[in-house]
Amino acid sequence: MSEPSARGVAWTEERGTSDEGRRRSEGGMGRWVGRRQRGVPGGRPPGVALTPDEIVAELRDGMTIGIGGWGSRRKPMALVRAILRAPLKDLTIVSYAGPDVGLLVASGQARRVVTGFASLDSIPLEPNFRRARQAGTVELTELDEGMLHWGLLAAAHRLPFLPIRAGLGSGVLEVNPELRTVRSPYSDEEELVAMPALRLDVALVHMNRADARGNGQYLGPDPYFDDLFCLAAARAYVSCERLVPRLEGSPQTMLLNRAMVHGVTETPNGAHFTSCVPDYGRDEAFQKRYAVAAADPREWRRFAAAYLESDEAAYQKAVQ
Amino acid sequence: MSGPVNEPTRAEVCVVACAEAWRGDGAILASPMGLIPSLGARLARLTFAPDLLLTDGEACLVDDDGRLEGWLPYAKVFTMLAAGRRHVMMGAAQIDRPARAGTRRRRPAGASTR
Repeated sequence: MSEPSARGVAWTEERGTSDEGRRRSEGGMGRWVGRRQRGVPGGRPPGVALTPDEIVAELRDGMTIGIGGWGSRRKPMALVRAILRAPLKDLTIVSYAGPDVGLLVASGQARRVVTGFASLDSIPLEPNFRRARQAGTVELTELDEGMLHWGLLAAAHRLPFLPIRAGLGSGVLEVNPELRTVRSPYSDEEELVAMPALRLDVALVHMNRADARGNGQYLGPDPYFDDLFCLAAARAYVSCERLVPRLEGSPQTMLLNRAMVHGVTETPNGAHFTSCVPDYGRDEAFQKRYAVAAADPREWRRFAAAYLESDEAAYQKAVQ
Repeated sequence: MSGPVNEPTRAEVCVVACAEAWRGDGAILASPMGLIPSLGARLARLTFAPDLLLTDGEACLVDDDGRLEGWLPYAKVFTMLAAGRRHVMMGAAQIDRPARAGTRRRRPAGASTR
């Protein structure tokens, strides 16, 4: 599989189209200031929930957007659907990819995908992603999934790169010729891949519970990498099944704190059709309908008209 | 009964061959992708490699009887791999006409057995 012609480095340098990178360098207190300067007219104090459309209104063309979850599990699908309704384009999506990436590829809004895979779990290959790659309509930065983890960790730690063995001796270095290796400065002198930081303009993640200040809680078996996505991003937005006055339960489930999060929205059933256990499992029947539709352009137009062209309330009603 | 019913099927031969890959691994995480490697890993654990660790394909380690043995979210799976305590067997989700896909492409992601 040949790569689309390179547009330069796929990692951090490509984020030059927005001003988010500069804002990031303001650090700490600049975050809320930045938010008042743009987005919701008149500003909005911390601790007030947003709507999905208000969150998406803060995104810009050309941004690098990280999306939490894993495959077809606990994806912020209501936020993805809000992006589909917005005129955004030229997005770079960093994700352990599932239908989030499939939808943004099908809509033509994702110009590049940075991922280790694109899967619906019970359906091995994400059908929209597969079709777009076979047609050559989306660019791909294909990494080992551990490298994606390391790139997010480097960004979260504000490091330029982190060394990792993954990728050595594999096609990953061939399809990403901009990747470099480093040699250990210690006596072992081992050569390692220098996985560059995957800095994000925005992170979007979905939690089971959150409070309006930005504390977030997962109740399923796996946190995935949602906390790293948030820390790797200049701005992080959380959708949740239920907005609560205070988080309750085991402290180990309280994955996100308000220092990582810039806005929260309540989107019941908002991960549909991906799983959001224990609130609900994956809607396998609907996922199958999605996959069948994605295989055929006419079917896809019908699917999009039925489910994606109205608002979230209409979507939720249609999938009941 | 005639002979052919006792002949092993090709799938059975493959399952045994897959199981052999984990022989001598000791207490490490076995990560088979796909049906035949999964059966191979379970066969190995139930016979000559009882120390193998297996997951439920989500975030838990499970015993032979499917009961919970431990917690292993993806971040910890990656750490186990980096620590040299994971033995993965993967196939290809698709193979192109020159049949080269399986050599460099990634695993069929999120396959039920991870």
